Amino acid sequence: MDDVLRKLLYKKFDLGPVRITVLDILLGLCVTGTGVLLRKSVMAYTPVDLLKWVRMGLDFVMAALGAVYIWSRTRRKTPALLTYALLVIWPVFTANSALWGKSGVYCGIILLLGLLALERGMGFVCLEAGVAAGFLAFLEFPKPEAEDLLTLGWPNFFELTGKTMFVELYRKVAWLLILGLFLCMVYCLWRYQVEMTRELMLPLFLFLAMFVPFFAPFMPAWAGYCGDVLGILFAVTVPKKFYVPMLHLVVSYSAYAFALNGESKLPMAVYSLILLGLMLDVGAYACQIMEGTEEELWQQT
Amino acid sequence: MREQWKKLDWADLSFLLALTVIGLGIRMILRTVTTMDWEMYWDPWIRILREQGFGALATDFYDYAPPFVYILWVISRLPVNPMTAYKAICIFMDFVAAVVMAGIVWEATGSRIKSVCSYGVMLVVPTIWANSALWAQCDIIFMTFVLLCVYELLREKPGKAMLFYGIAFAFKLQTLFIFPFLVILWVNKKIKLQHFLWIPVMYILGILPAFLAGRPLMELINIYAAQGAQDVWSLSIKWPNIYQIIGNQFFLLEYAEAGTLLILGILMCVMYWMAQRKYRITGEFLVELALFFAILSPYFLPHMHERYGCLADVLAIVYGFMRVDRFYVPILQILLSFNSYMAYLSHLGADEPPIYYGVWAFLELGLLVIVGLDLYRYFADKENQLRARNARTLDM
Repeated sequence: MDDVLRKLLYKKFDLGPVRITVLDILLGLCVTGTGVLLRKSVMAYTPVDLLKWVRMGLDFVMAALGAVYIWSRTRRKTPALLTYALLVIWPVFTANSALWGKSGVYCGIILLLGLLALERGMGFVCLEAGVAAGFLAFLEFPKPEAEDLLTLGWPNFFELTGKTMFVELYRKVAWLLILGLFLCMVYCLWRYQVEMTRELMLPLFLFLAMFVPFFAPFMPAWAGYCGDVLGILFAVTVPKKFYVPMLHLVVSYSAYAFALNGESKLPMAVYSLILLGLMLDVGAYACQIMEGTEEELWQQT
Repeated sequence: MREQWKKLDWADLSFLLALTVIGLGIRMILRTVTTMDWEMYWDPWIRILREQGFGALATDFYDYAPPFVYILWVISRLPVNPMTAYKAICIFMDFVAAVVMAGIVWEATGSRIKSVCSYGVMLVVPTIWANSALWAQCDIIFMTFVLLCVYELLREKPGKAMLFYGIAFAFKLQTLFIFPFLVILWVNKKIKLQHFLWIPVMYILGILPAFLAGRPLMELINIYAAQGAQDVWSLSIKWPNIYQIIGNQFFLLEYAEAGTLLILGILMCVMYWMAQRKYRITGEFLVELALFFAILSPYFLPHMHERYGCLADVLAIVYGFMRVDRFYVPILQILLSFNSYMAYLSHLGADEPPIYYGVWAFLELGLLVIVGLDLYRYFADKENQLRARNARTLDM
C-alpha cells in the first residue's frame, strides 16, 4: 500500500506542455486551500463586501500569473509552482486584500501582465488586460488629498530625514528628483547600449519598484506591494538573493502593522535603512549583470 | 572643455536640457522658503548695507569673509527682492558647479557619458539644491572654486588650480578641509611652493575693499578666528562625527582645543606616511585623496556644522563616477549629509531626528575607512609605486 501511494505521488501527467506529478497537484491544491483559509481567518477585521471577495480571488489569479511568468522564464515547473505557493501565502498579500481590504492586487496583476507581455510577446492581450486592471485600480484608489506628512506609512527617505517639514514643497520636489535620477539612469542605460536581457529585467524592475516609493511623497504603508511581488520572482530566479523578499516582507509587514494599529517594535527609520540596503544590493546586482552582458558598459567611450 | 562640449550630440543635449529644466524646477519650487539663517543674518545684513552703503563694511556687523559681504552689498543695490536675488546667485552657481563637475568627470574618466550624467546628478543631488535654494546658504560659491581647483589639477595646471583654491579660501574657511591634499601634491612635485602664495594673495585682495572702507586690518585678518569662536555651545553642531559618538555636550572647552590638536596630529601622521612614498599621481588618486581629507577633517574637528559635509558630497560624486563599484559611497555620504541638513531645518528646537546622529557618525566612519582603504590599496599596488624616497619605510 505504501509503495502504491509513493508511486502515486510521483505519477506523471502531461498537462499541455508541462509534465506534472500528483505531488505537484497536491501542493497546488493544499497551498490554495491554505491561502483560502489564511484569508478567511483575517477577513472579518474590516467590512466584507463583494469587492473584498473579488480582491481575494484576484490574489490567486496574481499568484497564477506569477507562476506562468516563472515558467516562461525558466521552463521549470518546481520554481513556477513554488512561486505560486509563495505568492498565495505571502503575508503582505493576504493582509492587503483580506485583512485590510486594500487594492494592491491590481498593481500586482498589472505588473505581472506587463512582465508576461515582455516575456512572451503577448503584448496586445496583456495590454488590454493591464488597461482593464489599471482602470479598476483608478476607480478604487483613494484620490490624493492634502496631507500633513510626507509619508503615509511607507518607511522611506522621508522617514529618515523628517516627514513633517516642507510638505507642500517636497511633494513637488520629490517627483522632480525621481524624474531627474530616473532620466540619469535611462541616459546611461541607453548610451551604454545595455541590452534588456531577461536576467537584467527582474533586478532592474525590482530596483525601480523600491526606488520610486523610497523617494516619492505620500506613500501608503502598502507602497512596497510591487517590490514584494518582484522580490519573490527575483529570489526564485536568483536563489542566492533569497534574503531580498524576506527583508522586504519584514519592512512591508511592519509598515502594515504600524499603519493598522500603530505598533512597531523598531523605529520605522530602521526599516528605511533596511530598504536602502536592499536597494543598493539589488542595484549592485543589476550593475554586475550589465557588466557581464555588456562588455563595454563601464568602459570609457 | 570647449572641445569636449563640441562632441555632444542631440541626445546628450536633450538630456542636459531636461536635467537643466528639472534642476531649475526644483529650485524654483524652493526659492520662496525663508529660513532662520536668512532672517537672522543675511536679511539684516543687507538692510544695514542698504541703509549705510559700502561704508558699513567698516563696522563689525558681519562675521563672514568680506567677499561674501560684497555680494550682499551688490544685492542691496538691486531693485529686486533681496532673497530672490541672493538665491538666484547661489542657484546660478549650482549650475556653474554642475558644469565644472562634468569637466572633472571628463578629465578623470575620459568618458563623455559619465561626464554628461554627472552634470545631471549634480543638479538633482538634495544637498546641493537644499543648500542654495532652500536654506539660502552660500557654500556652493566656495565649493565651485574648489571644484575648479580640482579640475585644473587634473589638467596639470597647478597655478590656475591654486588661484581658484585661493578664491575659495577667501570665501570660506572650510576650504582648509582639503588643504593637506595640496601639501601631498606639493611633496610629489605637482604644485610649486610659490603657487601657495595665491592663498594669502586672494585673501588679502578679498579683504582689501573692507579695509579701505575702514575696518581694522587685524579684525579682517582674524575674521575666520572670530568666526570659529562662535557656535561653541556644542562639540558637534549636528554633524555626524566623532563627538556624536563620544558625547558633544561636555568638556566643551577642553575638547575644543584637544580636538583641533588631535586632527592636526592625525593629519601630520597621514601626511608623513604619504610623504615617505613615491608614487604615480593619477586622476583617480587625486580625487580619492581629496575626498579622504574632506571626510577626515570634519570628522575630528570640533564645532562642525550640519553643512560641513558638502565638500565631501561633491567629491564623492566624482569618486562614484570614477569607481562605479563604489556607487554606494556618494549615495550614503549625501544621505547622511542631507539628514544633517534636515536635522537643522526640520528638527531645530523640536524633536531629535528618527535615527540618532551617533548612528550616522558610525556610517561616516565606515565611509572614511572605505575611502582610506582604497588609498592604501593604491599605495600598495606595485604599478603605482615609483622609486622609494626611503627604502626602509616602503615595507607596507
